[in-house]
Amino acid sequence: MQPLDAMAGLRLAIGPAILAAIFIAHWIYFRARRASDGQQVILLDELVNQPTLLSSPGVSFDAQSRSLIVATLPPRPIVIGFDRTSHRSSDPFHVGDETVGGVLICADDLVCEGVSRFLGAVKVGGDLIVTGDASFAAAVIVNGVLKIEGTAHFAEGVLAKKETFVAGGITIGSKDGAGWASLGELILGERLGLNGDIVASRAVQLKRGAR
Amino acid sequence: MTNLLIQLGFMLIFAINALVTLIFLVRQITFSVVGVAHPRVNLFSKAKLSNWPTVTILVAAHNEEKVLSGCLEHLVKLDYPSDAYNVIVVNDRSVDGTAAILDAAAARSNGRIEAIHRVPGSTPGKPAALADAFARVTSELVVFFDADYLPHPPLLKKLVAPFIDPEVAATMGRVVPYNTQTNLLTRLLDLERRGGYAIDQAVRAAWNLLPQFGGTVGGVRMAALAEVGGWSADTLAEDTDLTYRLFAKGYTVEYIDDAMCYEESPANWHVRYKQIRRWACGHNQCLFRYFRSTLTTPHQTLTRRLDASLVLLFFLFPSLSLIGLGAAMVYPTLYAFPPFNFAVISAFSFVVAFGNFSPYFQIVAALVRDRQPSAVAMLPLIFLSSAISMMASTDGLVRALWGAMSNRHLQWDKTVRFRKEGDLAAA
Repeated sequence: MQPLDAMAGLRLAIGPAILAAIFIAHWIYFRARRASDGQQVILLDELVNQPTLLSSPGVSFDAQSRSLIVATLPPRPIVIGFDRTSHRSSDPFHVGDETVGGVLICADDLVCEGVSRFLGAVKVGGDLIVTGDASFAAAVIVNGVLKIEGTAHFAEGVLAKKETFVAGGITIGSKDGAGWASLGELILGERLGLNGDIVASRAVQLKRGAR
Repeated sequence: MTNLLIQLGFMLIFAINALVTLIFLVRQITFSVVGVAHPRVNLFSKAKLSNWPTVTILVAAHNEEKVLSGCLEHLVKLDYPSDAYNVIVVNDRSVDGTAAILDAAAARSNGRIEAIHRVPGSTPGKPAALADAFARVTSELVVFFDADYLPHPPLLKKLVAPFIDPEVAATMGRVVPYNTQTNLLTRLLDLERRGGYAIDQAVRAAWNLLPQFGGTVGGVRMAALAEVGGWSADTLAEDTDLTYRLFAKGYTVEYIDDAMCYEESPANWHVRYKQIRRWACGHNQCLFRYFRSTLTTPHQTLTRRLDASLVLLFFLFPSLSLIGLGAAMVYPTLYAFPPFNFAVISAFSFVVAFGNFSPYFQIVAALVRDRQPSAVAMLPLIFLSSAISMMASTDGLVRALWGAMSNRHLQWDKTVRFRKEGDLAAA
């Protein structure tokens, strides 16, 4: 049997030697840097940005409504027969003069064109566009933009992850209870009826002629 | 002819590896860039509900005497209507002081904490333990915490608020290790956690994709759970299993970035290996079961379906990388190095090597977002935990395949705890 060739032995040893050198170098690096690696335990809530808050503490809903136009519940609209189970729509969904019972989930846009009432929670995957008179009895969640060119009444609350443009009128809450609005950004025209809080995580702009 | 087939086989391995790596690389870099810019405020946290739903908090405890009392002390002090939440703790056949600690805490809690003691011989594992607890749940929601977690008072409302969205069937908060400074492993795990939560989960939520329900620091809507067949105890990744069953039915998971809770990271490499192996095994079980339904469900958009399917491949990717590396080492020993082979190997090596750095981008982005950029000093060492994860993931994949072929129940490996007196000071 021939003895192992020295060069072959050296070649076999190179790979493990390189790996060992890499590990040793990293170990030295770790020992040198661990005292000042800057790695700290995250303190809870310290990184949360403080959003802008509008609220109406101590102001009655009626007092506000004297100076502002407030959307009122429309007269008895046509019921189109949605039942109490959830209804899903994957296309832009247009609602005219009708009442929608139960939960409504729209993967795309929801457009309210007439006098509409929504009795259950509403989830809109796209934009919510109100060109008529719309009232929402339960929570409304909008993944896209909330655009109100007519009037919208959110009796419980509304959450809009992107911008909210109000060129018409928006009412949060009701005489029976405070509501809430949690918005990405609010660009408000003239008319706001508020019983509760509006929180906007980025900016609140109060101006005429919003888009 | 045989030679040609073998070469084609190698080319196929290289091509699949490079393609998958490239897809993940593009995804991770895109997420990293977007994640840095994404604001941290979760709008659901700002919703002021007038009627908070009823909640049952579930905790499974197996030999948790070192950590359980801290968890229970925090659970009874949550900022939530006191008549709207209760706690059920399952003592899962513990042989240490867990049972005594639990009974004492329940006695002091004025009925808020309910104890369940599972008898020896019960089906082992957290999913099976929680299945026993579900029989006693009557609330609208359940929220899960592990026994080593330390939830702060505002946390429960943050986890519950997103359920005002009718599409949300589960919520997930952010897990923050508190023992980051213990040793090298805990430092590396902290980096990995940051990348996974602060960037990957957050961007999935921001882009309306599918965040993962992690089985802890999260809640589930009971009505949705019933709709998808209830709690499953025959999987090692009950959280992933539930996520994809809900997804197929049209529901989603909401990730709340500012709903943070401290946890204890494994401080031992062997424990970490077993943890990754269990995750990989369970995750791949879900891959086998739900990949097709995830891609084809009519209740979700195409983008959501594609990303959710990609996430199912997460624990397959390390094994593919390992196979590709092995093939790249074997191929030159079988075939000479004409320019074509050299070009193929070089291109493959570049793509895979660069692609394997994709988690690094997320970690760096997370450190920037967390305002701790100097912690990047530990990043060059992340390859150590990546190497362990690669081996453990492959081990887990093999076990998942074996379990699928043999139809056997796979064993749950308990994560060992390391907390000592004084460790709670950081929390």
